[in-house]
Amino acid sequence: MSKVIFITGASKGFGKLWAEAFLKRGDKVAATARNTTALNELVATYGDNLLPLPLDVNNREEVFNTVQTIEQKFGRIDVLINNAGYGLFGTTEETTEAQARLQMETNFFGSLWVTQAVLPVMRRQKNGHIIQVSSFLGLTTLPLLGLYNASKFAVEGLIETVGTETAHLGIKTTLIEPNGYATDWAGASASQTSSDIVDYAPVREAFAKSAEHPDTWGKPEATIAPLLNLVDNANPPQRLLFGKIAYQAIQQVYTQRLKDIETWKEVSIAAHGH
Amino acid sequence: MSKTIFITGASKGFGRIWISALLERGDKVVATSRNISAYDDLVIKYPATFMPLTLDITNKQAVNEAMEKAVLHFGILDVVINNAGYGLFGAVEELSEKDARDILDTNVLGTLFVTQAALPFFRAQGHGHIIQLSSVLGVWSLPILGMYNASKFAVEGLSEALAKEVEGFGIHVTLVEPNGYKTEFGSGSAVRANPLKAYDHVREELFKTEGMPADQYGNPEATVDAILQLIDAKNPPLRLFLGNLGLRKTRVEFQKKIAEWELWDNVAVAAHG
Repeated sequence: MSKVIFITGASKGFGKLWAEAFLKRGDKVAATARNTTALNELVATYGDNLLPLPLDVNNREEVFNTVQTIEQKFGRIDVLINNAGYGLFGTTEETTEAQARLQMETNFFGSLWVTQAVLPVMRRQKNGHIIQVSSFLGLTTLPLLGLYNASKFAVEGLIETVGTETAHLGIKTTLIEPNGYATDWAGASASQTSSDIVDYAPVREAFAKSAEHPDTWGKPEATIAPLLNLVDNANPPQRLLFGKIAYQAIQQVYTQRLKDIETWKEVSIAAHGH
Repeated sequence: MSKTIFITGASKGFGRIWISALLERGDKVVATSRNISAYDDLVIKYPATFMPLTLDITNKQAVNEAMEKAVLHFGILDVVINNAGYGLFGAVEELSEKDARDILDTNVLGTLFVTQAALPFFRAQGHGHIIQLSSVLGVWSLPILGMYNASKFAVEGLSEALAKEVEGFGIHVTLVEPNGYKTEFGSGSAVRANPLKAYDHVREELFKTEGMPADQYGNPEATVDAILQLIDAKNPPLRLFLGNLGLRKTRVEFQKKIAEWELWDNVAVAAHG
């Protein structure tokens, strides 16, 4: 049976790729982006099955109006994919207030507003799947990506909670955590702080070196079949890694964290007091 | 040797207990709050070593000025404790835009601004310790606390990345992760959203577990030793749980997550291409 999919940030990257894959197999897609002209070609091919809507996810009221428009057009929303987001590169110290706020606005608050707007619809349906594009960097960190890490860690905490709160209402949630992919995430889509503080030059150099291995990046097209599988699954996971590097890496990260915690275990327990 | 500590939001709860202990042993303390009258007794008792400052940490300019004042006053800064923060109760769907924005401003951006203000001094002197009040709910979540969870998860991600950026300067970062304690967190300090019926069941479940074993909550006074040890450590850890629940439950939560990722690993690998 065909599904109604609502996907944000659908003008490029994963978003556009997935929107097209849904349309190709006959699903109905509401696709939002600040600028939807990149979707014109898909409209020409898929006509009424695609509803492109210009939307800035930072505007909560606009988000709620958009969800109403989608419900009016398609009658329901089976799957929400919170995909809009971008990367801010730079040290924590060099991040301006405006840069920090905008990173949280788009990557975190945007997801919160869209989720809040869609939840009443899914509650009425007693059915729905909220898919949040998080990141491997929502689980572990890299220097120079502090605010991006913060925004993705935050959506992990948020959507994990939504999952717990809505399970009894027939709503499912999944956090997708891709490792590096050859999208323009680190290129044209990225934002950058100043690099005025020379003390950080070694950190920047080490980072640039570590990013020199694009062979470790996944192919965006390869995510299509797994995503369709996820959407069609009766029991989707709460979390799903994308990419061959992520699983081994996160196992190591968690093992190390538990080991580190052991070092101060007695201090922790004594601090309970009884 | 005595240390100089800058701490935010120390007018009550953990912060208040910690600064009393720090002043008692001879450390110098700069403590900020939106309302500093709560510090009057400490000003009288420790006139030379205690400095209260009125500060709204969500105002970046004011934060920079407060940090400068503190450094000018004592001439050195060893430790910054980002302690200011509060809880917000409400299912994610129930949260108002204002409540959601306010808690992120205080718990995350306030922490960011204070951290940013301290870094130039720490870099210049070649040492410093940034202690962030996170929570076990920065590692795993509880329902009805979605925005609080998100704010503490964010502090975790920010601070872990920061630690990697500044380790070359002799600057340490520690995330302190308390479990539930008998502070005002669940009562006086917290904000509550307007409830929707659909979530009553979840709310009842949460407060039922909250009321369960009496020793589930830690005794705030018992955290003093841990904080003093942390401040005095040559190589402080990146993370420190306060209380007996953190380590236990985190091990279970990590195992649950890893088991699910493992189950779906063939899908993850196929997605690489």
